[in-house]
Amino acid sequence: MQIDFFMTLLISLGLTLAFELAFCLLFKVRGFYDIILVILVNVFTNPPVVFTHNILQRSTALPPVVIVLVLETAVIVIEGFCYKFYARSIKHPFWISIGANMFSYFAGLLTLNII
Amino acid sequence: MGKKPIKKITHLIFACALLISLLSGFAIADVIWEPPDDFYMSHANECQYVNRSFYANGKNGYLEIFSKPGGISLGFSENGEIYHVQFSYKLGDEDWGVLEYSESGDKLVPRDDGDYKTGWIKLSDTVLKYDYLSFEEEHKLEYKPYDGDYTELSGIKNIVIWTFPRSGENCGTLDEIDNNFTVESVYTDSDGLKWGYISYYYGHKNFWVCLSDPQNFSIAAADIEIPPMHTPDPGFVPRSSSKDMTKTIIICISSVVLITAVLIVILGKKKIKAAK
Repeated sequence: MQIDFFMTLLISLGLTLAFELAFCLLFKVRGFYDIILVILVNVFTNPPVVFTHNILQRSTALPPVVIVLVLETAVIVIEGFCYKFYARSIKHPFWISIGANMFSYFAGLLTLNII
Repeated sequence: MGKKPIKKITHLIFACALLISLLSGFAIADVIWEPPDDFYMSHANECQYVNRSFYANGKNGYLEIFSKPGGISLGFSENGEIYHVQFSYKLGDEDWGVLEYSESGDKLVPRDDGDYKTGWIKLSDTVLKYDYLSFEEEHKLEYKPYDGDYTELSGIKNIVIWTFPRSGENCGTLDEIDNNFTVESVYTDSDGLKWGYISYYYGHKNFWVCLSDPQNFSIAAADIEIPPMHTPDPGFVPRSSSKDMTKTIIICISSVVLITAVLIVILGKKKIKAAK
């Protein structure tokens, strides 16, 4: 793994933050603390997931779909619990987590295809 | 509007279409293929046209391929593989060449029919493959101008195109030739076969035809010495010359995770206080 992986991490985090924040705002997540929480939760989960994805893809023969599915599920659960315990105005933390992550994943795929 | 203006406009459109198609036809004929490489695209003006093939010949038995001149390592190719380098770039004292490669397991190989990527190599880790320019350097003084009338080729179909006389490498055939076919130089090999050099003919560049035996696919190749290649020591595994940053990346990610976890907890405590 070389220096350019930092760029991969930054781009990935930037895109994830943009898509998940947009989704959360669209689904009426409001208030300074909850917006900060969404940002922190994504900074907490995204870099380790991108790193683990990269490692698993290179060092195992697991199908890419399985890797993505396992990692995304873990992220959804962790983010869901974070919203459940620490958010102030998020009424359905797990649905928000599922929606935001699915939206972010597919919007990311679309963006990469367009680029 | 009368009939005449419509006719004029039709003629004008037809003339424009003809002009555009002719111009684009000429432009296509002179197009130089450019590699779809980010570094090349942004430094095209500083790159030199090479268009020659090279044997991989890294000093440790492997050729290392990089993302750009002086960039990160993309992997290794075994010595002896042949890569085509379209352009070169000088970085300090080092000449770098851009190439196309495919992945085969954990090795990199010259571009195959599947997916391919572009990369850069140090030309000092290669050996030039003998080609028409090498042949020209060696035999230029023996070239003679062509003074024939093309009767040896007239009416002949499937004229074999050779990379250079006695190369043993042909690149297809030409159907019957027309007036655009011009032999610029003639070379007579040691067996008395006459060869004609053509710099351009309908998309084919810098090639030779055997004027004495134009349809023969099996003209024996001359012995061209392939330079000895560096071989890897037994059990040697090539290691990237770029710095491995895995540990640094793990430390950075762990720090970020720890800091954000603390911040999330602090934020949660503020929530509890606010609720009280």
